[in-house]
Amino acid sequence: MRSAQRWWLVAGGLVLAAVLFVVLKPGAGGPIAGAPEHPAARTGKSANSHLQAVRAIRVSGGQPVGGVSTISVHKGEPVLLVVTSDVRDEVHVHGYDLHKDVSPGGTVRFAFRATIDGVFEIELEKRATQIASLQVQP
Amino acid sequence: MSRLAALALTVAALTAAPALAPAAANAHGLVGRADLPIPVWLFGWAAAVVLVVSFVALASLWPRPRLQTPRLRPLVGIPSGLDVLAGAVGVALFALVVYSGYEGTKIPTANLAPTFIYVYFWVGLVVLSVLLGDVFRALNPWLALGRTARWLIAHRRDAPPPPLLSYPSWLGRWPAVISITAFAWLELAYPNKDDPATLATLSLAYAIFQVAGMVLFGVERWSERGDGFGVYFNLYSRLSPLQRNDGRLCLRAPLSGAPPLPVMAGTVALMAVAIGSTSFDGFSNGPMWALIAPDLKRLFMGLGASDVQGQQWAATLGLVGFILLIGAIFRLGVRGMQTVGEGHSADELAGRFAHTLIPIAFAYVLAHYFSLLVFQGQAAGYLIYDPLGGGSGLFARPDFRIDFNLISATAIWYVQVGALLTGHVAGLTLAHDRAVALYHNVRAATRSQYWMLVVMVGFTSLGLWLLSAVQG
Repeated sequence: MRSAQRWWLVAGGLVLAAVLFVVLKPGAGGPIAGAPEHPAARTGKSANSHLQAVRAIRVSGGQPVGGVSTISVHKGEPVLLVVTSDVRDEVHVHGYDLHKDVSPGGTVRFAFRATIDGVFEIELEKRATQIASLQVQP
Repeated sequence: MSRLAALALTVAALTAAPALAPAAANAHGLVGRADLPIPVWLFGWAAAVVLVVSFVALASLWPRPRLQTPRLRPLVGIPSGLDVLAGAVGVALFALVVYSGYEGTKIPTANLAPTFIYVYFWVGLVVLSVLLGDVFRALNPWLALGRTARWLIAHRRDAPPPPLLSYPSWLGRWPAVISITAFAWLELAYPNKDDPATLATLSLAYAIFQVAGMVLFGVERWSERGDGFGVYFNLYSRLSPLQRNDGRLCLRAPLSGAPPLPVMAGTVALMAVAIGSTSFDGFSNGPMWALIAPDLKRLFMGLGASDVQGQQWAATLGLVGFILLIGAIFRLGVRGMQTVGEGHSADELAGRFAHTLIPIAFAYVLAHYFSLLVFQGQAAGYLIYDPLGGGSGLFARPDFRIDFNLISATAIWYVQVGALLTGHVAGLTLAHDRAVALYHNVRAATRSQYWMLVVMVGFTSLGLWLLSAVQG
């Protein structure tokens, strides 16, 4: 194969890749662009909305009831976490580095804005037991 | 094995896995942070690009080898004192890590030892080797100690001490395979992997193992073949455009350091461990493992293991399974290549194409650990002031927090996909170049590369799938 032909092939490949990227990227109206929209955009409300979802985590016997649940929010949204526990420990939201002591039968609340994207552990620090997973989508 | 049967088996091995259901993601590691899975649209795009790139590569690559003998262009001379200095730095860092491990706080993120070993050493040095060449050979504390001891003895006796045994050829890189597997097991399966004192003890044990190897087989010989980390980082340094030659720093074509990798027993196994352990790390963070692991754990608890042990054995099984899976995919590709003729045995082909997996292994490391390096790597900001933790350091500990917004989740996705795609192209390039050098007939070379293409597409798709939301 001649070198000119080779370059045309490579260039063609690059163009095809670029077209695929534009078509597949959500929001561009592509065929697989069915990803869920940002809820703030959907409701037309700003991130200051008071309609923030309350996420409840219940700890029984040092273990999360119903297993490790995933709390999924979008970046910038307000989050209210309510943790009820029957054991004494410290609840730690990793990444956001929020700590609060909880006593047996007690409840702690974390109200914060999801400013960091990624997947973060929420854990009973002293027992090193994960009780939930906070997923912040960009 | 017939060609069709081999192809069918390869395809089955690649497609059998992604068939289970979702569950909660389980983030672990030093910081309690994990990467968001690559969204489905990006996964689809990357997979399509992999296929396009592969077919373009098949149609357009060169007919004569270009990378087999690297041409070196000298840049600057390396002062002889630099080796001594680098060795001293290596020994000092090793001593500091062991000392912090024993004397410092038990809190893993506040003690230097865990972050140093898992982040700067295990991941940072891989990236540094690819950028700057074999820097670990200069910093290697065990090598520095061995060289010093040899120099001291030679000084007294007027001749360096001869090794007690000659290094047997069947041993090849197997000691390195054992060391790297043990390290991967420590990181991914051992429950106490974060404990600073345990890490200090294991570091000392590894140093003793190296000293014993050097006494038995000679300092340089052992360091090149038996020192697991020395061998491991050297593999990645072969991707670097920089090489040291004859006391000088030289420039070479990227990737041209990989083909001269000496064919030796255990090399394929080492590549399988490198790729397999990273794969399992990704898989064990995913929803599918969260589904399988409890059952495996119960199975081992039924055999008399405790809860923690059950988890450990489940992870051990997963790790071994992934190493074998990677080895099997490569081996199937080799069996396929064998069918194109010219009388090459499967073992010969496996050895001669082992170096083509180095870029794939690097792509996996970068895709899985880039964010760890960027985020946990920031811990240097307080660890250099207070390596022992708990304010016992020489300096007052500054108020320092890891900035988890340093790069966005979207940027991490692009780095992951970019790494895997680049690794794919580099692996194909190396395989093609080796094929046209090895086969007399260009047509046989091209036909052999259909098989390597299947292998590379398999590894790249597996890498993408492990990181993506398609899994759950």
